[in-house]
Order: sequence, then C-alpha cells, then structure tokens
Amino acid sequence: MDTRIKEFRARFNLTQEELAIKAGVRRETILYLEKGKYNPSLQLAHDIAEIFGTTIEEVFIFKGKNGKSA
Amino acid sequence: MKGRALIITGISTILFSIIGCGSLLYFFGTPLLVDPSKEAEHTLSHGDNATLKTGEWEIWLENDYGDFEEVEITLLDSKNASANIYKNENDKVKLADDEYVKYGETTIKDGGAYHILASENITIYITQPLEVEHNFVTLCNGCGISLFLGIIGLVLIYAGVSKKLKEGKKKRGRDRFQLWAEMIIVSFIGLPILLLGLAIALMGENDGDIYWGIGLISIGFGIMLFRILKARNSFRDISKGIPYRDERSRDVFRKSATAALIIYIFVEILVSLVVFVPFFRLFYWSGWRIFVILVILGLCWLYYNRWGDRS
Repeated sequence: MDTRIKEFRARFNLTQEELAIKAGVRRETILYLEKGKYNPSLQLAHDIAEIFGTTIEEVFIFKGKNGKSA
Repeated sequence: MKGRALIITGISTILFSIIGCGSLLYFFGTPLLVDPSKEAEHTLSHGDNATLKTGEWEIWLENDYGDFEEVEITLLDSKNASANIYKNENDKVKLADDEYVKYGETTIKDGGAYHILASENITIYITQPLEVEHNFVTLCNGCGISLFLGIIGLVLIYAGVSKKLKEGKKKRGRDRFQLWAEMIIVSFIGLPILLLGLAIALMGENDGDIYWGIGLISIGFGIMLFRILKARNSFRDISKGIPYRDERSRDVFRKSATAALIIYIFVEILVSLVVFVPFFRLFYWSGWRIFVILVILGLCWLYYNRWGDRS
C-alpha cells in the first residue's frame, strides 16, 4: 500500500511529530506509514484522512494482488 | 473487573506470597533440634541433609517403597567415605534387613558425625538429636512459588493501576506508569546479570572466569544503558503528548510474542532430542531457559518491528 501522507504533510506544513500527536500515535508509526511498511487500522486511516480534511482513498492508495491500484 | 478490585487482589496476592515465603523459611530454613531423650520422627525430603553427632544412637528409616538403594550415609570423620545402607559397606553401620524398615545402631566417638543425605523422601525415627538442614533447592522451589505469586500480584496491580488511569482518562499518567513499570522489569533482568558478572570476575577461580565476568557485565550494562536511553526519549515524547503505546507497537509485540512462543516450542522439542547425547546436561539447559526465551522474543521483536509489518 502506498500513501500520500508525506505530500499532505508538506501541504499542511506538519512535521511527523506534529502529525503523530494529532493522530494519537507514535512518531515511528507515521514513519513506517510513509514508507509503506505498515498497514494502518481503518480507524487510524480515517483519523489521518480527517486531519488532512480529505477521504481515506485520497491519502492511502490501496493496491490489488497484482500490484495495480484498486 | 474494575481497577480498584484488581489492585486489591494484587496486594492480597503479594501479602499471601510473603506470608508463604516467610513460613517456609521459618519452619524449614533453620536446623531442627529435637529432645535427645525422646525418640523423634523426621521427614526428610529429597536433597535434605541430617547430621548425627557424638553419642550412641539407634535409627529407623522408612520410605514409601521399602527401597533404600538411593539412600546414603556419609561418614564425615572418615575421609568422607560413604556407605550405602542397603549394601552395608561401612562396618560401623549395622542395619537390619527388613522389607520396609531399615534399623541401625552404633556409637560415634568424640568429634565424629554421621551425615545423612536423603536421595529420596524418607522418614527417620531416631534416639539422638538430629540436626536437619533442608535442601536449599527444595526451599528455593517453595520460595519460587511465592515469588511467582508475587509477580502475579505485581501484574494485577499493574493492570489495576493502568485501568484506573484509563478510567480517569489520564493518558499521560498511564503512559508514564507503564514506562516506569517496564524500566523496573528491565532492571530486574539487567542488574542480576551485571552483578553476576561482577561476582564471577572478582571471585572466579579459573583464568577464563574473568572473561565470562566481563562479558556478563557488558551484557547487563548494555541492557540497562539501552533501556535508560530509550526511556529518556519516551518520557520526552509522553510530555509532548505522543502515546507510549499505539496500535502499531501493540501489533508488533503481539506478533513477536506469538512467533517467539512457537519458535520456543520447537527449541524445546529439539533440546529434548539432544538430551540423549552423552554429557549434555539437562540441568544446565533448565537454567538457560528464561534467557533463551528472552533472546528469542527480542529477535522476534526486532524482526517484526523492522520488516514484519510489510504486507
């Protein structure tokens, strides 16, 4: 799964730490989310999307089994 | 269960374990002296030592099966020579050969003493003062149960306080409490390793002991230092409002604990097979178990923290 968290962070001028505090998670979690190494829960995905004032689909790009965007 | 109920249960468990441990040490930790004029009965557990001192004495031994092959009498004043009661190799010990009871009588000269090592659970009837030193390992097992209960009590208190802080929505307070609790647990692991290394390095008799000691000191010191540095960052994060535990860290720990358990089961199976190899001491393995579990858990945590979430 790819994410556009980094892009949204830059747009909202937020550091990883600030986003972590807003989302109520650790800084490492944001780091691993940006690298695409962690699949968040639906709740966390919703919270992050809400912080950026957008939808989950805009922030998180889900890929199907063949690697294509779903 | 509410937080307060958990805390009360935890404190009660700890008190119970302290009373249990104290009772064990009070009743079995000191040598028992009996009235020499009366015949007295003693029950010796596996590994207990009993000493017969100067004077005339008669002794009856009983066990559950009438099998005394493993029961030994060691004559301390005769170059530590040992005599097996069943075989009656020592001419000073005369024993009647009955199916279920062994009877003996002799005189011990001034300064002499007989030393009985119970290799199984036996009952002794004797007409002489008998000093019994109960097996330290047996005592430790008893104390170990108390310690186990104590740990359960601490866990209950931990859960209770965490829940209470959660009930009050004091997130930062709960995080700080969890962090302190973890630091105490880590110091329980790190400090003994460090102190053991220090003891080996200072009191070791072999040349290689100093290296073992330094190695253990390094491991213990490394564990403590790593935890303190990590805790410093965590305290700083908590004060900023970053939670100490979040869904990812809980997920990583759950996955690594599950994997560690499965791997440990396979290690146990492997060791149970290796035990049949000559000179492999199962005793040593049992002492290393907790260390092996911790190492496996640590490696699993490293793996899942770094790569395990990729999916």
